[in-house]
Amino acid sequence: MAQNRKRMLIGLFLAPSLCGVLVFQLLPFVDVWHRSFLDAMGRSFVGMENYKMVWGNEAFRMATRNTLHFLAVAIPMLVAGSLVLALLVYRSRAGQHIFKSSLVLPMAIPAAAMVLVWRILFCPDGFLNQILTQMTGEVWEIDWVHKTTAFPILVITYLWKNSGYNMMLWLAGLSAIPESLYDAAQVDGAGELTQLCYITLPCLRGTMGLVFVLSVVNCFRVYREAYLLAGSYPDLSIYMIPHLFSHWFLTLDIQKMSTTAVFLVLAAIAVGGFPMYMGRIGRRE
Amino acid sequence: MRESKIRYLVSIGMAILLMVGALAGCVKDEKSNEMDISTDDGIREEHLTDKEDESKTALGRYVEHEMSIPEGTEEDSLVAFFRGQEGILELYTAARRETGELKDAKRFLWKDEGWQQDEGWWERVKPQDLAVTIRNVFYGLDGNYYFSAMSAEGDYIYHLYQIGSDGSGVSGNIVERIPEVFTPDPKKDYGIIPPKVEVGVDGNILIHGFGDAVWYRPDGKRMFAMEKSWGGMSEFSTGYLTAEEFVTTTEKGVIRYRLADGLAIETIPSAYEAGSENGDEGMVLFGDGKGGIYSADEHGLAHVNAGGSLWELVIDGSLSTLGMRNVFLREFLAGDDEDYYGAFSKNGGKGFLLYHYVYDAKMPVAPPVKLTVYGLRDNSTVRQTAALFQQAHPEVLVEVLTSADANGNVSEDMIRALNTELLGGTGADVLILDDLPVKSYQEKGILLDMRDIFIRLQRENPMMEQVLKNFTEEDGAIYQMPARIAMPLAIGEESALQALAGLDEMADYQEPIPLLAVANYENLLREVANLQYPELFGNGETDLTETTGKKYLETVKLLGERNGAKSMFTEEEMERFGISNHVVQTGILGSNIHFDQNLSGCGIEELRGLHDAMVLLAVQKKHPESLVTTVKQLYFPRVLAGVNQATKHPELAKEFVASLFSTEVQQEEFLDGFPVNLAAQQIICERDNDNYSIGIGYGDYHISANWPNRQEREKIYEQLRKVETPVQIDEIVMRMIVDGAENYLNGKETVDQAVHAIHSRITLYQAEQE
Repeated sequence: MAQNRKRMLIGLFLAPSLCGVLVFQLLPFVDVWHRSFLDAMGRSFVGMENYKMVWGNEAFRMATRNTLHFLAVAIPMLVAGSLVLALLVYRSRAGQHIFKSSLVLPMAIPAAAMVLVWRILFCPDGFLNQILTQMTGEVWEIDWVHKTTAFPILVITYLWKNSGYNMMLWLAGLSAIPESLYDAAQVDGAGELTQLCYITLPCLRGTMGLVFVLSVVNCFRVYREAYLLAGSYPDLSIYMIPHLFSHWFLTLDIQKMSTTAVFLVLAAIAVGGFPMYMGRIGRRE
Repeated sequence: MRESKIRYLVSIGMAILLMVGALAGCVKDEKSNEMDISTDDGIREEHLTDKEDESKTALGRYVEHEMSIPEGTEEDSLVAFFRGQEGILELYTAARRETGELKDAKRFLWKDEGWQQDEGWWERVKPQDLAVTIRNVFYGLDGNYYFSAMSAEGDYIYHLYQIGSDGSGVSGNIVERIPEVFTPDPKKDYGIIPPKVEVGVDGNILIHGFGDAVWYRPDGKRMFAMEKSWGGMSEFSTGYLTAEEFVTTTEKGVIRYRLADGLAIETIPSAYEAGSENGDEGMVLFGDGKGGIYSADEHGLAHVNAGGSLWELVIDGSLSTLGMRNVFLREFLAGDDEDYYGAFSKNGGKGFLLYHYVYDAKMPVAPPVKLTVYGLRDNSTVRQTAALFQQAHPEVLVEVLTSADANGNVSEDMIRALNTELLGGTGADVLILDDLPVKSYQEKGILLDMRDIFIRLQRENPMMEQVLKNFTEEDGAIYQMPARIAMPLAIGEESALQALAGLDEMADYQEPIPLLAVANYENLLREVANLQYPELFGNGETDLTETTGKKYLETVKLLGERNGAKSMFTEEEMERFGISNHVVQTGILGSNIHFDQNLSGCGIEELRGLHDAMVLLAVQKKHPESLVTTVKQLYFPRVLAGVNQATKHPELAKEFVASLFSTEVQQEEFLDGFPVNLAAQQIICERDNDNYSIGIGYGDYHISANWPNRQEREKIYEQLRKVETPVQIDEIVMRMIVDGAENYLNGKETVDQAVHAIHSRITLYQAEQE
């Protein structure tokens, strides 16, 4: 009886939030899914035509390839890099607050301001070209953000902006590991590396799931930086799905956007399954 | 236990309230049929929906009544209109000579609900020893009448005369004031010719200039200057004097200067953002006698209280002649009974209109039906149509909405905002489709088929057949139609004009003088793309192949190397070459003057009306051997009109589109293109505009031009009737070309690299559309 009442109470308190998710996300998604079977203005049923059209669309394929490429390169770097930072900060006794603040600071910098600095660095007469000119004695006037180098620049931007936030998540996970485990391992003669491999990493599996999901979500937000840095038609290496969405909205291709959104959700479910699985294992252990 | 139960119930109650509150916020209040909308310009307007219950209709607004004008002055020019001694309305008119000067000025006083002429006034006041032509008359704050005049002997000397306290020229001695200020410097040909002069309470004189106004003592001693907006009109300037202040406009808004020391004491943001084709020109400011300011312009009459910064809209320009683009607001005055008077010059300066604005408490604040017209940029043809449509349909409020910023720039976000509305079925009824994704709208079924309108129009009041044909789909449907067109017209010797035939011909032109005039690379890229549109883009808008792309870039580079093109010119270079870094969509900045100086093999002008042909014709007179012709019979469609399929007023929207093509609208000459209506073309060909002339120059070069005569007008329209091919380059594609070609044109990349980069982007863009 008390158990049921507790569940009801939990449900009640979650209700406003769940209502929000239902009204602002699930129901619109149902509409989006419905629209993916209709023509652009939602007037007539077209069956699977939109799915065929989008799947065969070269722009969609390129955007998907680039997005996956970005995920494949940036996510491991971010997850691993932020974990290393978290371990270093966690171990450091002095100046821990300064490290934390300075690493989280990029999150607070507006994208427009950051992009301005990036332009100063990477434009043809920017800081990087000037340094290279001085070092090599040759004139460097490369427009780094409008060439294939745009991809590493965007990856660096993403890492710089999100490392601090992920580090905080890792730190929260690290602080939840009981010190007694490390004490026992030290008594058994385990070294730092052994402790990392057999205590820290296994205990962080739950956190890893969260870090992974949030990193993927933030990957899609990098469009803002890509747009501000290189415009709506950037170098093809950083042309991603949000670019496509933006352009399709300009031409009112709502049916294509709806279909792509369905594809994305399916992909998210598939990708999200992995961290959920990892998290479950972590909790079990 | 009891306490926890109460907490439990309270928490349930609050959760339910929160959910209900959140969901209730999403529900549309059907009963709410009156909206208070704060417009972008900071003015609060009250709008009513179509479904409004008449019993709740807000009542009371100003109504415009046309005032009679004195007999025999129908063709006269308006010299002045003001309230003189004892607040009596006074009107001054004059006939215009063929040379443009005003002659035989007349004075009329408003008495007993009619105009009474002050016979012989001009003969009495004009100096007998000097032949002058009148410019202006005004009533000074010192209680004296003044008139200004120019010497008719061609010495360009301005004169200011004081003509006594009753203005009749009988009772007071006529005295010339501060002649030394207006006398030309011995080193110059002419002295100060101000657009406006005012006299303060203490007899000090304010001389309006084009970028400032200078305050003089009665003895002619210059005291100080006060900055004001640049005004290009020769007989009009915005601003007024009070006993202690001078109020005018600057870029920051309306500004008050203290006359004691010339210091700015207050700046009030303008009632409306600039951004119309008319800019700030035609704005009249006047005081309310209590420190408040009135501002009258095409948007309407707005008022701000002393010390305030929020403008209140008193008269809506869209509901009156103020919103019309074929008349020019010259004066706006307050009456004694919370009424107002407006004086307008007709286009070309011949004829004028007077209106009285009276508050009618029974008149609905806004007409019950609203027709919305949306375009990215402001446009005179649309504004004029809206004003005339409004007059013909008093029951309809025509609201013209634009998105472009004060400089006329548009962004993708503006199109996204429009798309959001179109998706929600709430977009404007009539769409002006310039720079909008028309093709996409058409494919998505956003646009209504307007064939019935044009079938009827073509039967009753035909437009250019080829334009109609170009914008008619294969199945006969018509989704868009340009109300105006512009055309590139080239002047040059036959060999140069032949070289415009294609990219190869352009590249092969080997004369010592470059084929095209110097321009920055972006304009040159755009100019060549537009002139070679059929070759580059074939039948589609984006079909630029790698082979033609390469030929195109190489040709532009070759032309640029010959004429000295650069990515960006310095101030000194712009001054020296008479060019600008300003980029125009067609890239055609007008190069007749370069042809005139043998700096280019041909001169090309984008003609949007006869005013653009003036310099070209003047140059041709200097080079009678040269030919003038259209470039490959191309034309640029402008003011593309379409109707939103989701409009609630399809018939009204269609009628509005039909009005855009009516002779009444089309015969007006604005800056947005030639008319497509044949009857309007004929009217313009027959219409003289003697008092219009221009002069342009840079460095030592100068050329002046007059309005084309009948024969010349016919010649221009003959070329217009030959145009066949509409040029509509997708701006996104053009942007890709410009960005992709930059490094090649600056020698930092090979042509293959540039073309590959451009082509891959265009291919991607095309792929998005598939």
